[in-house]
Amino acid sequence: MLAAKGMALEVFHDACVVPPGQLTSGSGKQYAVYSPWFRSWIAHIHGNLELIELSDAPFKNPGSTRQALGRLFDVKIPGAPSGKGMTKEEATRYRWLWPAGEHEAMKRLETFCDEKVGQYAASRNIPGSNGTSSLSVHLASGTLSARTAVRLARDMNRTKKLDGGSEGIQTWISEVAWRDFYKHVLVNWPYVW
Amino acid sequence: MLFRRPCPSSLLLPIRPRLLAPFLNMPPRGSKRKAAASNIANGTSKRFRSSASRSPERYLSRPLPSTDPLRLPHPFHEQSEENGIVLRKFYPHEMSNARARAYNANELPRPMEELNAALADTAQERRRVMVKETVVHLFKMDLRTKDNRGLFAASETAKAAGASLIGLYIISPQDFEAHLRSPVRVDFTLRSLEVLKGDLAKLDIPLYVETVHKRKDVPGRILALMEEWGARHLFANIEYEVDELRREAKRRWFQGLSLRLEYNDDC
Repeated sequence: MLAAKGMALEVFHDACVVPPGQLTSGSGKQYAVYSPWFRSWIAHIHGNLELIELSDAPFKNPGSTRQALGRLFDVKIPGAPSGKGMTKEEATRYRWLWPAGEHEAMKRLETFCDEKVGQYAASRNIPGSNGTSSLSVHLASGTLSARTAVRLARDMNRTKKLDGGSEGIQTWISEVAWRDFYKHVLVNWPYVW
Repeated sequence: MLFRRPCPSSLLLPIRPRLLAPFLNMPPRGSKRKAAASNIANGTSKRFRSSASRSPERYLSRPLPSTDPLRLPHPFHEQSEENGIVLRKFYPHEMSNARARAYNANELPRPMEELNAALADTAQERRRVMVKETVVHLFKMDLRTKDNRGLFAASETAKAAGASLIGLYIISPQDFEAHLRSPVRVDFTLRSLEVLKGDLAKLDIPLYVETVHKRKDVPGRILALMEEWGARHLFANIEYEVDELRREAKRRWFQGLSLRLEYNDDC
């Protein structure tokens, strides 16, 4: 068909575990309060377990790609734009504090689930205890998906229910859910920002 | 069929809101105050430059006042601008209570509703688009290979057609400025891109990263790259941090894609 010469933009829900707009209160409206929203979020996931199925990494490209698009592999990633640079000392310190990329995110999540999530319900609110996950920059940059954060914790729990078993894991899942909640609110009330 | 409905594809451009739950049930005036330090905007404190909003440059750079009552600014909008809370270089003036009420009353379509409508309107045309040599995934706030819905869908589309997948990331300094991105966060993003580039290269997928200095040029640049690479499909994950008034960007995005559809329907 001749029409097939156009271009197509395809967009996906990815950042939230439950896409905005899928949860409504009894009267069909967006929840404004977290607790009833969270109960509805849990029930929705329990009824739609594909929401916490993790997608695979992409397939390998055809063998001809390196030859056809070789120059794209060689293009370097640009440096920081002007005004966003750091001194060498700063760069070294922050790179040590905040290792980047999805492997470091996964490592941090696994360490958190192995060592801290059990006490998370009590320790997350004590600033001196270093009890939080320190994963926020990874969740915000998308080097870690919210699904993975929920799924890894659930798989460690003694139940497959998101609202059962370890109190620490339940609290962790509820904290990750806050990120969904904010986005649901924002989509429904665009002036809240 | 041609559609010109302005559509919230600013979803394609990152915006980070300062979203404050306690304001949910309050009138929008308070909720619109962004937690921006007054001296971040241009390196000087705006707090002591109360005449800034009346300087000729600022005045001339503003669009003509709209006659649409729902587009009138909030009565106190100048305060938030003079205090550096709303960066007028990038954002519209503070929204009036009437406009917020119009959203609540479902009289104004929400950006997400506009996106859904545009997706529905174009569903048929998009289905007709055949994959060419490459498929492009635009990375934004999803800098990972695993459990990435949009990336995996792009990969499946490319594989089914025997095409190559290309990763694209646009560095937009004006977006960094508008979103008050700190140097350390920018550095984190760039380092994450290095990791991503290495992971994708193992799969023979290139990650092409380019700086585009004016953010209004971003959509056009992406379309030009797609033409250069023989791509007809652009995949991306939705970002929900919507600035519903960035209609300029929105129109450009969807018109760019839809006009091509229309043109080709005729040939």
